[in-house]
Amino acid sequence: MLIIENLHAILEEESKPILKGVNLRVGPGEVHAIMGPNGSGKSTLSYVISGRDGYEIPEGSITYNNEDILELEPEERAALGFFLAFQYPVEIPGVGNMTFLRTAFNAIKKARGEEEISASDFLKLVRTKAKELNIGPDLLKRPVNYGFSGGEKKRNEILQMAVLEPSLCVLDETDSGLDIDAMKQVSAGVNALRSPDRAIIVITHYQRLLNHIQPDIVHVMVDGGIVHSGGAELALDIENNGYSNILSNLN
Amino acid sequence: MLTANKSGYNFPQRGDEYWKFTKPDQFVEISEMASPVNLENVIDAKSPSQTVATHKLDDIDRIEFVLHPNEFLFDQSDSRIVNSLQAEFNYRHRRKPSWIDEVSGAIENRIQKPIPRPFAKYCINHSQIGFCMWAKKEITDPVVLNYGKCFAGGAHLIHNIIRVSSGAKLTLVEIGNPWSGVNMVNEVHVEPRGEFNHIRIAVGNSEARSLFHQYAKVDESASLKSFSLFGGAPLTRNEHIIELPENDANAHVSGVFVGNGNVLQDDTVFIRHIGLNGTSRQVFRKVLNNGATGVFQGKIHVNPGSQKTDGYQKSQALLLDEKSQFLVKPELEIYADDVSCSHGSTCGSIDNNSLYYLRSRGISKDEAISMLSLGFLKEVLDEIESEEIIANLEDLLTDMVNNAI
Repeated sequence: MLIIENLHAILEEESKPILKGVNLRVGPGEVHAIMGPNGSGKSTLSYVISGRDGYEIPEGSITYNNEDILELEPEERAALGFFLAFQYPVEIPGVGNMTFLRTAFNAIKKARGEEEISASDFLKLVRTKAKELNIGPDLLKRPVNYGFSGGEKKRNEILQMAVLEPSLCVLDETDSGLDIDAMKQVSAGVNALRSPDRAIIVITHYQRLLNHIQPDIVHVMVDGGIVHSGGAELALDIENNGYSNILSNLN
Repeated sequence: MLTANKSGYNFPQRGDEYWKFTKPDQFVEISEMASPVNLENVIDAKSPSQTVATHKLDDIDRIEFVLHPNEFLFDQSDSRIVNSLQAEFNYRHRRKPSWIDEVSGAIENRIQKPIPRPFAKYCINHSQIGFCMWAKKEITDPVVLNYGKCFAGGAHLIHNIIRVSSGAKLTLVEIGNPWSGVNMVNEVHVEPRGEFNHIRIAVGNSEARSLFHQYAKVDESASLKSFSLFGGAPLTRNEHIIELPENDANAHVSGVFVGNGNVLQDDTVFIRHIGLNGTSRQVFRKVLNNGATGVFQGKIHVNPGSQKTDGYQKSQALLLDEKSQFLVKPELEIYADDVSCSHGSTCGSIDNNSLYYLRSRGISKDEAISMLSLGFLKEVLDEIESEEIIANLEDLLTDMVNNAI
């Protein structure tokens, strides 16, 4: 499904190499977790997958269902089924959350050549999904993420994911800034989306989230590359011992 | 520097204090060319369905004035009007009721110092026509003055007079800019505890060169709120000159401009606090694309002794290309020592993080830019009192932004 090979990325602004040969294969229905120390390139990987400007890719490839996606714009990748839940969701004053959701939903439907659904059916769909995530009607009326608490922002990311039904979800530190209850709600939202044809990549610092979203494979990223992969037990090991074992094995 | 010209008025020249960014020449030409309106020829509206300027207020309960050769055309039995609103033409050469004479020229004249405004003086002295509204009680539905085709083409001088009695309330919506040139003066007197809400919608005419003035005197505990929406015209100057001579008065002016191409829109605001405890607010936002120019010159003037004044001024522009420009002169002139006044002016491009966020959700770059521009402008609509009018203007603004980007 998603194949990343020898991916290098340079932050254009600072001419700084961040990714130095990432290899990753994610199949349909799989949940992968990526862990790693600060500054190892986890967020950059999520940006490069979703098509953010500002990165030069001197080497390597990303293919999705056998299609090379590196030249595609972010909106084209979204139409293919990509979704990035942001670590820091952006506040957009003046743009209503509901309007935003509907515009995104219709844009993706249109790009896929599918029929748009009626405004009232869409409203019902969003209300149902919002209720499951404990998002009140007032948050749907307010501007996108504007004045939302940290937890509300993260739940709003998962709401978008639930409504847009992507086939590849990348969650960038979705657990940061969440209290236990909010983390449970967010995790339940993500788990509800698990399906045999959908892949999920969870980027996190803490094993705690992985108690709620059970990964099939855990990867450790260090200095711009994936250096170690294992099963769910790897996350527990990191939680108990930190990265020192893995780093010393590397050395 | 003022220079006398053929009509004997000292019209401003480019570079004068309030004409640093906008050339006054075209307004001199428009003023001097303006010819008497022959209403018999140009007005042929017999029923509201024949009003021409399309607008987005169709769904709102409103009192809409249709122009007719000799009188405003409206349902005489309309209970909303009979005892509460007096509406008449302001003919230059016909006898006018005394209430019009009392206001006419008087409001503007009070505020000619310290900055003389010859264009307004010229309009008042030479205009052949205008519209007068006197709200005697609270009028719940908005009153719409639709300029329609009645001033289509040509250059015009229009002198309107608005009076809001003590404790009365009037919402006036002026719609349309069908002329090729206009020099218009609104003189407004809001009497104690009166409330005047004003909305001007002048969009879509790619020929119109407009000079709007609104001179207002806002009395004790009275309130004036004025919002303007401009776009599509090559040249628009929008002047508000407001005086708060008594205590506890409130003046609130705001506006939105969508500029695309070789166009210039200028908001020039002068609010003078004379009484105590006055509040004033100026909020203007513009989206400028393909070399459009936006101008904002705003002043909060606080007289000595006008303590506890609360003044706020903010002007902001979103530039969508490198050729567009926003020229601003925000000013505070304060002679009292116990006041709270602030001003801010910002100018920027589309935020890349926001753009990426929207695009990552499948929204195309152009649509995302439209959404962000619209979001930026829509916040100013909150300055309008009526939610019904806001909802209708949102649709109009969406069309304007989509056409300009």
